[in-house]
Amino acid sequence: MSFKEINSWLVLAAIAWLFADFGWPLFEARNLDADQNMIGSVIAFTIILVVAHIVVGVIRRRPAEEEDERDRQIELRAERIGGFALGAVVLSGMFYALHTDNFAAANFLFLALVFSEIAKRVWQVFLYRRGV
Amino acid sequence: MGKTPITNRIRVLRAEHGDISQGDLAAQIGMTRQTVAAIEKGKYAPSLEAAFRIAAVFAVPFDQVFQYEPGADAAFLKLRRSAVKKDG
Repeated sequence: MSFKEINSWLVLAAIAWLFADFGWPLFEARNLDADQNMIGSVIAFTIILVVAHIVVGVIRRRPAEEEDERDRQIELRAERIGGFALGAVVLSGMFYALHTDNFAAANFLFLALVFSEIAKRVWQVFLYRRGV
Repeated sequence: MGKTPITNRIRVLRAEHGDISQGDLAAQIGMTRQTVAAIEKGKYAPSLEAAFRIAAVFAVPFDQVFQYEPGADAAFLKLRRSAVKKDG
């Protein structure tokens, strides 16, 4: 297994933990307004990942390989799915904010979608002109 | 990723060139050992540049490393059929 694949497994496990620690109580309480100590969860998540990387590095006893074209292709395809998921969640958040009359959050999320699309299209046009 | 319609003789060529390992070949073409293994198994079709690099390592013409059988390429056959239909 390549280091990149091991890395993906580690992040997946750490995110599952983050979901259990941060997301599940919110889901269970059916209350998105609860103060869930987001900063604490993110710090714990980062520490878990760093420690896991160190442990894997020690066990493997060889340096991580540089990523190659296959890694980049896999990453791009996975990013696309991640992008769809993020877009769907942001859109849901926007409708939830509108539904609860939280117009600041709704406007912010809508602008986030607009900016993200602008960034994507600008980069796309640039790459068409420049060549890849 | 599924099987690609491109086959190759990399495993044979490695054996013929002093049993060069997947890792050694990978290092010479700037890839990981796992990617060379995936190419050998037909699970990954390398870029044209990487494919030419592999041929260059073994100092053989490109077509002695990679082979393409159009009849085994279902996507290509489908495209051709729909193009022929459009042309009438």
